[in-house]
Amino acid sequence: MKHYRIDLTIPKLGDPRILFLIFTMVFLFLGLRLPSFGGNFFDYCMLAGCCMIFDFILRKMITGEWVFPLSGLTTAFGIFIVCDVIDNIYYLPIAFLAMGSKAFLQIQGRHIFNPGAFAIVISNLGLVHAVSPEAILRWTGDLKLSLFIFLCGLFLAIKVRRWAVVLAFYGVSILVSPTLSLFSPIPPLSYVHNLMWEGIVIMAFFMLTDPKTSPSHMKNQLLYGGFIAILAQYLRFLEFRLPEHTALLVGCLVYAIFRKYSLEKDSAEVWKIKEVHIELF
Amino acid sequence: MNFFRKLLSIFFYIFLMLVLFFNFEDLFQKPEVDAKAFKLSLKEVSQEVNVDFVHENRLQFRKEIDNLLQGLKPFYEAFSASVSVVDINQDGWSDFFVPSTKRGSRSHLYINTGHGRFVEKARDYALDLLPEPVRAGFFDCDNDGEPEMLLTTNHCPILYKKDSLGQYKKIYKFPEPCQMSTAFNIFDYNRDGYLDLSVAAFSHIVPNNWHNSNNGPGGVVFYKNEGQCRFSRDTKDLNERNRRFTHAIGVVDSRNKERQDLWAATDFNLDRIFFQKDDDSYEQADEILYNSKAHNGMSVEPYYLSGDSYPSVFISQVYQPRYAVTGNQLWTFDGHKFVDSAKEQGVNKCGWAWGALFEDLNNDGRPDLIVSNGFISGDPQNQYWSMMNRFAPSSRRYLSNSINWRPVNNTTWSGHERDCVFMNTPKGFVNVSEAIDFDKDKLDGRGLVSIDLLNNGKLSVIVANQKQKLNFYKNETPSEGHWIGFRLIGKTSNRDGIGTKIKLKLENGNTLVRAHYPFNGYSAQKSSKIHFGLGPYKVAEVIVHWTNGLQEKYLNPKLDAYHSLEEGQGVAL
Repeated sequence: MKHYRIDLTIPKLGDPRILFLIFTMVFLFLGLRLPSFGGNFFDYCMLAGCCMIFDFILRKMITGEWVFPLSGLTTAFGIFIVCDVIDNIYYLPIAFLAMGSKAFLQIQGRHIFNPGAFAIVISNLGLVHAVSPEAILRWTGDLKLSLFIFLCGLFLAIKVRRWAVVLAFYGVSILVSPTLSLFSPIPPLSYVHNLMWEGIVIMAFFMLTDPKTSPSHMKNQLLYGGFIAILAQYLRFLEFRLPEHTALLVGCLVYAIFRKYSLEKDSAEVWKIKEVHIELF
Repeated sequence: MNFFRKLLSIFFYIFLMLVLFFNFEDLFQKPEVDAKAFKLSLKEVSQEVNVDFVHENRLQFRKEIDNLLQGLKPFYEAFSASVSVVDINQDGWSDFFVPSTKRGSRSHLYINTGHGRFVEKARDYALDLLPEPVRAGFFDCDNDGEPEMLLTTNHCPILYKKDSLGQYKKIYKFPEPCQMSTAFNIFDYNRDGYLDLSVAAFSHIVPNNWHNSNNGPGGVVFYKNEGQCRFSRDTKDLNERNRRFTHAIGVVDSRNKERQDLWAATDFNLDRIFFQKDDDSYEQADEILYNSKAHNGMSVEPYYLSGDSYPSVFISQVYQPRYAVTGNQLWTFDGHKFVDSAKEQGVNKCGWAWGALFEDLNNDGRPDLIVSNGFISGDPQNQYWSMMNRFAPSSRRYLSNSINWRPVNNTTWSGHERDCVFMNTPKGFVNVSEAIDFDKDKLDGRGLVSIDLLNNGKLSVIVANQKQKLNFYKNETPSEGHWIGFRLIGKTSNRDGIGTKIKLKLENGNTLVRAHYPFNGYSAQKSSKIHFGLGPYKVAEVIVHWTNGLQEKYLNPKLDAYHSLEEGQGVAL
């Protein structure tokens, strides 16, 4: 009888992505119990399923390896808590945008953009009649929740050695915002409240710190976080929709180009992974 | 594999370009509607029928805060245009009343002459200068045959009664605390033969959250009618701690149990549903709407779309590309939970929707849906939605302070929208408003009613526009079938017949059902004449369920006419 074997790469227990996965599952479990959360478990499963399938298949096509689609699962979380869709069918193109950006938008073998941020910004720019970032307003506004996310996010940021990015992002934002408030009737306190808002905290701690798209050297991390902060505050001043996510996208692109031409190479990020072999009849 | 990978990457780039630059909405757009196919004609004729009314609203806060809130006044002043249909002189012709909210401005009462025109007579009834009126509800609270008037204002509601000269005089002012309200309903919740009140408020404060606010003016309050228009507050069932912003209260037998459930259309949070129990008390049942994404309920318009099965409840919501894509809802109970079919039915998109009205405009036997929309129409180049990007993502404490909101001033906030006319076709609802040039000026519609101008079964439409002129649309559609109408006169049930259910069994076996709750919708009072379009079929029998439990039957009523159904005159079942 013929034997088939699949060599599958999966993360080890110490892999930071497992921590993020635990956080997302707990967050979703609590959130879906809230009446105002607006989504349901079926919606999330559909989105996660689409992302995981695209991740799994595209990764096999690009690298030739079967890799457990953890990235798809965590990307789906980021999209689900931000985006509303008029019909669940739109999760299909959103998932393709996310995982496709990871597979096809690469420089030197590394993907340029955080897949979740890419899908959120592009789908909100292009599918305006069907997608909106309203979902994020549905579960936010609570300082206690913000604190919970902050603590979990801080732990993760330290674990992936990206806390400097977050520090730079918040530090520069706090410095820049009073300046911008001079040109605007919005008081400086508005920017501070915005920085404490759960949506920004999640973006800062979980997307900004993506080890695959952010620098590993501290100096570069500070520049990266600071650049995104300035751009985000300026886009918000211009009343741009999704300013932080858009700034992140631009920041990722700038960093990817910088990495290509820089003499100083960031070390390639290594997840804690292992291979398992699955025998099929 | 390499070739396949390259092919896929090219496909991805093309897909990305398409997403960014191609309008996918066009792909899903229904084919352009041929208005002539529907033969629907709703012509704006306010001048011709002698209706000339412009709603006014200007708030004046206490001196110390007036300057601070100046920029937000367009927001606070955006909720009060209403219209009430009433036969105020009991001559068989439908009249209507439109209040003007600004202090010192004149409200109008239009008396139907019976010849296709109106005469303005508010002063004769002492209804011209009222204290900052928001919405009027005419009802017979003492069952003497004369309509009293409940008036909600920018402060507390007031009850008026006609004196011996036929003029409305204040007889009772409801006590504090109270706030600006468009949300009330008048029905006999305890079936004792007297009409009671349920009132909720919206107020002039800003929410502390866009979807989960808890700083609204309060819950739904009941005022029990003790008889002779004396009301006592009864809140033991609905004295809820969740403080919400309520735009409308609808009454509907949502589970077909001969109960009068309440549906409170709530802004900045989930709608609230209260199921009525067998002892006439209420229990909150919001959990049925968990996972509802739209939290900007404006109007509650129930209708029996499928004959004798569960009624459908249309809730107006906000649809704004880029910012809010959830849209309107059409909830129907399936025995266990409410299911939203607005998207499948084609009625989910109508801008920032307000009033809603199901009526058979062409008498083809299928009820059509009209929806008024538009929030604040200012400078189209200055969009408030984009300004919200600055302050919307904030904590509750920050958002609850109106000083932190961007001033609205002369911006546009979902303004310049055309009201929707959804024709009911065998393939679903189709929006024909553009094809028939309905609401060509794209005004900010609020209260919405139908009125039979000539008592000929052709329902005209009145739209009260916020701080703009009133629109009167005369229905000149050729009738596609028969019609029949009823006016209810209760004896032991309340005299207005509110809460009565009428079922028509047609000769083809179909059943048409309507429950008479004229204060459903948004900021409007519908006519007391209940109209049915029949298509080509005759009526085999009419079954009336009065609120006191009596059921009566009437056989083979004359078509294309209105009938007065008096409780006790039919054949008891």
